[in-house]
Amino acid sequence: MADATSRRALKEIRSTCGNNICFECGKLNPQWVSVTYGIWVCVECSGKHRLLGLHLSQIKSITMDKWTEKEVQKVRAGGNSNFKEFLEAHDDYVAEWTIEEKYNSMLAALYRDKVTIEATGEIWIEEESPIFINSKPTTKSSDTISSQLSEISLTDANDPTEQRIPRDAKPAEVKVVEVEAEEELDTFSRLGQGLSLASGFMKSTAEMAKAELSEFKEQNESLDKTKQNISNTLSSWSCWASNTLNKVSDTLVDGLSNGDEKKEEVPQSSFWSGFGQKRPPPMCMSVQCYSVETISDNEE
Amino acid sequence: MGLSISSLFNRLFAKKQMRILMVGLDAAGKTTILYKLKLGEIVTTIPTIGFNVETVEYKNISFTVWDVGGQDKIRPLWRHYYQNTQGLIFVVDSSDRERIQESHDELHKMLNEDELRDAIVLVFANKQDLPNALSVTELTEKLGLNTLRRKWYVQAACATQGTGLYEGLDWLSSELSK
Repeated sequence: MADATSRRALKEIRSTCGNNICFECGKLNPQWVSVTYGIWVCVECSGKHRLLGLHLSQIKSITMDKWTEKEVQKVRAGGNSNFKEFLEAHDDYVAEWTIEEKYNSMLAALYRDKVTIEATGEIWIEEESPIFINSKPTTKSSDTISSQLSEISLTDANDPTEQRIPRDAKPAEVKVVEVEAEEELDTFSRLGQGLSLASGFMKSTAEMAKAELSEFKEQNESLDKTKQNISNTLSSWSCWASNTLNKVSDTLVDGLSNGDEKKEEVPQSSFWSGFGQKRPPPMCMSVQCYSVETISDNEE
Repeated sequence: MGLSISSLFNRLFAKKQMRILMVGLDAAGKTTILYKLKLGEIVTTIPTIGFNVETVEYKNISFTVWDVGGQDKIRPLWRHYYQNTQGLIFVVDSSDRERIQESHDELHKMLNEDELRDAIVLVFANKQDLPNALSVTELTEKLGLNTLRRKWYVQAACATQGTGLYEGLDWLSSELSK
């Protein structure tokens, strides 16, 4: 895009949409643009945007950079007041967000998508945005009943308003109510069918949920038993371990008090037999011998 | 006699000097690298219009680093800093795949300049922490570094975490002492 053309276009865009003040701090006459959102910022705030990384904000100077047609279109699709309105229209927006929080948010991701789509001249619908669809809250594993429900009952996974209607009552059939009077009767009867199916479905789901709950209870009980078993085993093991250690220390003390070479071998074997092992691992053996020898040397 | 002793002393103990020119496209991270090396911390920079210059002491070498703004319209100013440059640091935003060809063109245009014929080239593959960043191998190929007839080295880096920066200076200092 020729420099003069892009500069003229940008100058024209700057006089609209609240673009004559910095989006972040309100300073007058911003000379930098975040192409990603089509918002205008001052030089200081442009630095903060650059620190976010290119994937979150692409900053360009309106005087020192060259612009492509596509980039100018994105700036045209954006606008300071448009982005502000978009943010404020959403309940999850927090006015006190830092720049990092704001541009790492799901709302910013949605708006990035909006600007990209609208720059191509197409119409952007929030509910159809892949960002929106992917960000829909997924049910947690702990909530088994609701996850069961959503798994089975979904008709159109992309439309959150249809979530409570079972597969048999198709959304198309529900919408038929809006058409001409002649078809109304027929439609209502079909809708009735759908609803009865839905109630049947709800019943069966409730039963399933019940079964699930009782199963869960059983699992809980068995878990408790297992816990008990483990604690029993642990306590018996600790008893055994302390007994063994006592034995070992006794034998060692005996060995030390007797001091002669013959008796040195006795504590070694009884030490390891205390653990139910005929031969100790080689490393431990050498350490054991070493300590006994040292002690007997000292005694000499 | 006294003169020769002092010159010997200087040769043995005086700090070596190295003049470095640091360039690259806008928002590659040049100023962030400069102040990370100088102050050891991340400062919030603003786009460089003009230049920054700092001396960085490392391994008994005093690097004088000239960091010049990378906006498209001010790139023609780079050539005013070429004279006596011993090392060129070329900084690339590894996550900026769209402009890698632009980086390639700027680098090769600059290296064709006679004033830079003896300069060694260190490429910082910066912003390696960002998603979809080009690897060192990809970057080497896309920047056409294998065609260069001079000493060059690519160092993966992340200025905001400080990784890779001193490894780059290590290479520069080892080349200077050769």
